[in-house]
Formats: sequence, structure tokens, C-alpha cells
Amino acid sequence: MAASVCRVGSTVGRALAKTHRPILLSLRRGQASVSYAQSLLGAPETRLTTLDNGLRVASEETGHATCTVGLWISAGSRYESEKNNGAGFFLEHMAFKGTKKHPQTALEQQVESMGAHLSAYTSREHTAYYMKTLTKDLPKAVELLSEVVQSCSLNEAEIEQQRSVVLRELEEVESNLQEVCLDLLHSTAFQGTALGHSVLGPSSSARNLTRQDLVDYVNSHYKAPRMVLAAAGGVSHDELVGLAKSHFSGVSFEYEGDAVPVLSPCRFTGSEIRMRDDALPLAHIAIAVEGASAASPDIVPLMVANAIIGSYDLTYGGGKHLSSRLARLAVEDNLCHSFQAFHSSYSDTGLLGIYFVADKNNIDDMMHWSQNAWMNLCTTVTESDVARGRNALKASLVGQLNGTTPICDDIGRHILNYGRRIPLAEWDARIDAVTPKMVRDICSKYIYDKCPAVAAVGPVEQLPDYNRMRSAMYWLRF
Amino acid sequence: MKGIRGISQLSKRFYAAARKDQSLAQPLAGLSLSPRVGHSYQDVHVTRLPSGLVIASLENYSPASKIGVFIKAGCRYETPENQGVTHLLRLASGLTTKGASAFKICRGIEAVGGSLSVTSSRENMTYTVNCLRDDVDTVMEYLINVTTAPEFRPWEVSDLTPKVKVDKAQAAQSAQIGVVEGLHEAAYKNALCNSLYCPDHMINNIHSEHLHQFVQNNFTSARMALVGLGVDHTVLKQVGEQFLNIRSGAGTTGAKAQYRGGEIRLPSASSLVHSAVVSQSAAAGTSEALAFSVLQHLLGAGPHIKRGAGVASKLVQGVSKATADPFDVTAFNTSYSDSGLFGVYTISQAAAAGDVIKAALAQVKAVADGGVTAADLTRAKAQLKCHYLMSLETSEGLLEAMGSQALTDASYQSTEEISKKIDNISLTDVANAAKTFVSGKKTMASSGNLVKTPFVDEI
Repeated sequence: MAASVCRVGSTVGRALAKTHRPILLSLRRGQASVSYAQSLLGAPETRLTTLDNGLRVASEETGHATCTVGLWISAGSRYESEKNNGAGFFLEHMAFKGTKKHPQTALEQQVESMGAHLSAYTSREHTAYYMKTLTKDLPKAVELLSEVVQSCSLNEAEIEQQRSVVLRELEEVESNLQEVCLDLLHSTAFQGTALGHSVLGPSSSARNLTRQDLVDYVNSHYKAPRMVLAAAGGVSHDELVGLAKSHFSGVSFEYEGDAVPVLSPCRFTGSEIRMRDDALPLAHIAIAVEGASAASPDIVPLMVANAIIGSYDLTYGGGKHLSSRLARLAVEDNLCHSFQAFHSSYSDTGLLGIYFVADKNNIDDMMHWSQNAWMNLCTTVTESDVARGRNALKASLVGQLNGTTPICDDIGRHILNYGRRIPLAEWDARIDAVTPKMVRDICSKYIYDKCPAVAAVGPVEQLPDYNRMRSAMYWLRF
Repeated sequence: MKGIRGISQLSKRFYAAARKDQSLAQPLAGLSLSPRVGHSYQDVHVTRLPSGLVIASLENYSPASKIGVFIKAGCRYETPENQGVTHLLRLASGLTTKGASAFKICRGIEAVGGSLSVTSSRENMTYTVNCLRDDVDTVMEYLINVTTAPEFRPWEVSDLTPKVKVDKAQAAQSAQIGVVEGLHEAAYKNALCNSLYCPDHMINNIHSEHLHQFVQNNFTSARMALVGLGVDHTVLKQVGEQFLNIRSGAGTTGAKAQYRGGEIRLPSASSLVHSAVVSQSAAAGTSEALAFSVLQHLLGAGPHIKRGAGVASKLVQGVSKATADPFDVTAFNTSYSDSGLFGVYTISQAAAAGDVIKAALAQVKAVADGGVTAADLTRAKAQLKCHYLMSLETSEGLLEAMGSQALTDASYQSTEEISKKIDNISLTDVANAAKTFVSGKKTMASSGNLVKTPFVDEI
């Protein structure tokens, strides 16, 4: 019985192996089926309307019974000064602690009785407050969000209580070494500028920020032209615009004293910072060069380049067959526990880098091969690498839009970064335009012979001297 | 020197100027996107083939396709001789098959930007491939090879042992995984007591023959479902008829799970005590199971507001009166094809563990004694419906829902049908569910510094 089963299995296997094109293609001939290109063209459009006060309303109708709606604001730690660094994060703590119309308990009861979820996040350039709910509850959701953003009560007693919560969160984040490493990377790469600030702020801020600081922060940054009301799900754009008009028309678009905050440019400084602690089990290291700004067309080839390097961790299958050379070496020579190539982009600058977690005796080798991967991109990347990178990037862009919340987040951030939502069909066209020569040229422009910023946390004795890492940013070629 | 810096700046500016018009803030020139023809909404199609294989698909017009093979081959079907085999099977999806070598599978899938992954629960094992819509043929070939014609070459299988250890080490870092696995081990005599992870004594004792035998006995057509998102139903049917009929029949029948109720204590140095106290609830798909789900949301099934006070969660409100230290408490609810577990899961400081657990159990007793208002019930039902609908937003959630329904009753219930069933749950149903918990034989699992944690007969 078992033997016959195996034989049958092997017949099938051999049949599949012999055919040049997969056998299933013959099954589909004559079937009406939607192709990839058609599915891109038929994707729902994101509609964008601007209110009189400059507030933008954008939504995508996906046909779900649920939706995510939220406010995305151009405010974050980049807009903070040394004195009020951490105000945005503290404000996020206070956001759901009561508004003028709904004290905290009433606000929570409203949200819970709808079965909704209310959340927020603060990053360096964006702040978001959003709610996940049933589409039929959209009006109530927009009303509650408008209260949270415009009339948060900022109760003094609550502020005092939140100080200890913020301090506890600061303590907890110290044990998340990935966050620590990437924060240190920003603080050294953008030293002396606003992008060097951490989003959480220093502990002195948690202790000393006053209600007035938070009020000033809201008054200087929560202005209509810098806000986007975004929604995704089974929502009707016209209904959303109507709700926006009734709840958000009052958001101001003028600054006190006509003092419009201008973002000062954040210079990149090639430098390094090491937080050596031999008691930690693993070293967390990030190396980055200055990358492209959010709206730069170079973003697309750089993302393809990152997809070629890819990422890896111990749970990956594939082992020594993985396509990315760095991943293969990580498996074969036990170079690291995990690595990822990343690109963080801001409005006028960015960080293009590789982050890895390694044992203390493999740091030198891992750094060598990471920089080798970069040199490879600048000099010898091939057509098959780029084809794989293009496909991986397309798949990850589609895969990220998984659910109404990521779509809504995508809409909010795109409108703030680009003034419009970039449709998948356009991403696809831009990605298809990337050639190996383009990858080599653009990577050379950003990586070759540039001073990197390096941040290292843990048992980092083996990390090479900065001058040696700087020398590995070019090859001796004549 | 100023001159040289000027030149490099000039070249950067020149380069930038040449591509300025392609900035992402401007639509790409030459790309015409109008008119947008919307696609019509499609239903989920489900077909059962004569061999017993169930095909389910939904054309959602997404640019990416997702296909899963769901098999009734979870760890409940392991025997004492091959305990841990499903853990190795999870890691063995990339191994050489009869139609494609490990190298070809890995490179072939990566070349099209796709992915192949395996997840397994106590009931089912799921092999999932993702790819862009045009590459379905390529990844489908690998999926079929992996699920029907694996070779399990002995040297490739023994190479998996370090990965098993890595998995177990990662699981050991999570107190929650330890408690849930321990809970099942203590609650059942067989089947459902098997752990998702290979036990220590079996790590070097699972060989190629065990994997082959488990696949022969469990990967049969009548226990499989082929589910797809973004694919044609007719294509899937043809694939199912031609390629997934390798092993027919129902395979070995699993044993019926026998609940026994017990206790397991996992002391550790952690100052946080994780503790779960449950009793037997109802099998999945029954109206009692739905009543338990409503009860779960009534008591509190997790935070809805970031950094919120949990005002609507009876458990949180009850426990906050018992301790001033940080804590977390939710209702625990899980159901399988022939049994289920319901209770409370608490996380507390070591010194307050006893108070927290007792306060949580008191809240459930209050529900059993009738302390639930109509408003509470409406809110719980709204939360359950939202929870279910939100899980269907993601492709993983939708595929999982379609796959598990296809396996259990070869159909797909619409969200309207499920909403109606939820609406039909009454206050008495919920109170009865709570009574079942209060009067049932308890199982308890705790981990952390257990000095002040009561035993199951003390709560």
C-alpha cells in the first residue's frame, strides 16, 4: 500500500518536473481570469477632497463591513525643541483620558459599546489617532476623534499620574534593544538637529512638562493644512466629507503671531556611537548612510536594492539555498541571528542601512559581509538579482495593504508625504523601470565612498574601528 | 576645500535636476489609469469533490493570490511513538520533494517574490503560499509537491534538529506559551494534551520514517481542503482533482479528547505570575460555544483603547479593586472539534497573585448568579461581531476562516448568518455558560514566582 502510494507520488512528481512551463498553465487556457495588470487597474481609487480650512479628507472604498478612520497630522518629535522634546509622546498618553464633552469613563464606554478599537501612534514626523469600527458607526467614530484631537481636556491630576506611566514606559523600552539601537543611530546620524531627538523624549521631560507645554504644542502644530482625515473600508467618501465639514471646519489654519513653523534642514553626520555592555548576550548593530527623502524618485531603486539584500532571522526556512548572499552566509557561517536592510525616509532626508543582531564573536565578519553586500550593489548587481528584488518589492507592497488599518495608514502617510495617494499601478510602473544599471548608479550615489553612521549596543568589542568601516565603503579600483 | 565641495554638490544637483520631474509628489508621466472599471463583488464558492477533498475560493481581485492547503493533521493526531512529529513537519516544508529539490523550491519561490509558510494548531496543519496573481502556477506546483510528494531525506531531516531547539528556546522565553501548553497538558488525558512543540525526550528520536508515516496516515483527501484567495474556482478544482488525490480515504481516526482537569506549576524567577484557570466548555460550532464567546467578550477579552482603563471589562474592574499593582486579566476561550476550554488568564505581581486570581473568578461567578444587564450583553455581542468581522479584513484571517470552515463542514457561512446566530444568544445562555465554568472541574496552569499563588483546590 505504502509502496504503490509512493510510486504514484513519484509519477506525479516526475510529470511536474519534466514540463518546462508549469502544467497548470494548460488548465487555465480559455478561462476568463483577471491578470495582475488588470487587478492593478481595477483597484479602488483613493478620493481626495480639501476643505476650506485646508484639512484634507481622503478615503478608499474597499467593500468591507468594517472600516478604519483616523487623523494623520504632520507633527512629531522633529517639530520639538530641546526644551519640549517628548511633548508629542506625553500628549499621546493624555489623548484618551477625556475630552470636554466626554470624561474618560464615558469616552471608553462609547468606544467599547460600539465594539470599536481606539489607538494612536507618534513618530518623528507623523502623529496619528485612529479608530477601527463597523462602517455603520462611522459618524460616531468621526465625532469622537474630532473631540480627542480638538478638545482634549488635559486634566492636571491626570497629567501628574501619567508622569509615572511615561517613566515606566521609558524604562521598559530600554530593554528593547532594537529600539535602543535605532534611536542611537538617529541621535548620532542627525546629531545636533531635530531628527536626532528620540520620540519618547528624555526622562526630564516626563518629570517637567507642564499642561501649558502640551497646550502650546497642540496650538502650534494641530493646524488644518497639516491634517488629513483618512478612512478605508466600506466607507462612502461623500459621507466622510460631510462628517468632516460638520466636525472639523473649526480647526484653525492660522498661527499665533503669524509664526509659521519652518522645518530646519537636518544635516547628516557620518559618525558612530557605541554602548558597550558585555553583560548583554547579543550585540545589536546598525550601519546607515544618508538616504533619499520621502518624495525622491530614488526611493524606488533603493527599495529594490534593499529587497535584493533582504532580511533573515533564525526562523527562516531555506537555509543555505536562500537567494540573498548575505542570508546564505548568515546560515552557513553562523554570522548573525538576524539582519534586515532598511530605509527610513523623512521629508528632506533619510537613512539607508542594515541592522543586525550577532553574537559577540561574529561582529567583524558580519560587518564585513554587510558592507560587501553594499559594494556588490554598487558594482556588480546582476539582472536576475534585480528581477528578484523587483518581484519581492511588488509582493511586499501589496502584502502590506492587508486590512483596513494598514490601508488607512498608507493613505494618511501618503497624503502627508506626497500630497496624493500613490496607486499600486504607479508603484508597479516605477518598479518595472528599475534596471541593474540604475541600481548600480543610484546605490553608488548614496553608498559608495560615503561616511556611514554606526550605532552599536551590547558586547561590541569586536566592532571594527570607524576608519576601517569607512574604508570598506569603497573598493580599490583602477 | 571649497572648490571641490562645490563640484560634488554640482553633480548631485545636476543628477537631482534630471529626475526632479519624476518626484513621487507628481503622478508618473505616461501612466494612464482612467477609467477605473470596478470589479463586481464575488461570493465564496465551496465544492466537495467525490474523494472528500473540499475546494473553497474567493475571487477578491487583489493583485496578490494566497492559496492554502488545510489538513486535519494537528498535534492532536500524534501518538506516543511519534510525539513531536508535527513540529518537525512544520520545519520540513522546504525539504526536497519528488518534483523539486529544496534548492529549486527556495529559489523558485524567491524568484517570483512569493513565500511558502506552514502553521499548525492542535487540530489542523496549514501550508500557505503567497504570490503575485500571475505567478500562481509556479508556486502552486511547489505547494502540491510539498503536501503530496515529500521525500524527507534522512540527512535533511536530521539537519532540522538545531531548528527544533531554536524554536523551543524562543518559546521558552514567552511565559504565555508555557502556560497555554501546560494548561492543555494538565486538562486532557490524550489528543489535545499533546504540545505544539516537540518534547525534549523526542528531539533526536523523530526520523524520516515517522514523518512519512504521519503523512500517509493523515494527509488524505478526505481530511484536506484547498482554499484560495484571488484565484479561479475552476482552476482550484482541477488542481484538486488531478494532483491532490494521492492518498484517498479518511486516514487514521483521531481519539476523542478526554478532559481530566488537573494542575501544572512552572516555577521561574520572573516577578510576574501568569496563571490560567479553566474548565471544559463546548465543542466548536455549537451554540454553547457561541455563548462562551459572548461570555468571553462580556468579561473582557483584551484592550480596546490604547492605555485605556478597561472600564467595560468586568474582569479588569473586579481585579482593580483587589490590587493596586499593575496587572492584566482577560477571559480565556478556545474550542476544538470535540471539546473546549473556558476560564480566566491573569498576569500579576508575585505577591498579589492569589488576590488577583480569586477576584477574577469572583467576577465570573457574579455573571453566573445573574449579574449581567441587557446593556452588557448588547455590548458583548457588538464586540464579538466586530472582532469576527475585523479578523476577516486580513488575507490570513479570511483564509483561516474559509479553511477551518471548509474542513469542519464543507461550507462557508456568510457574515450575516453568523451575526444572526450571535444575536440569538440570550442572557440565560450566557449565564448558563458561566455556571458551567463555575461548577466544572477546574484545570490550572501557573508560571513565575509561585510562592503566593494558590493551588487549584484553594481557589
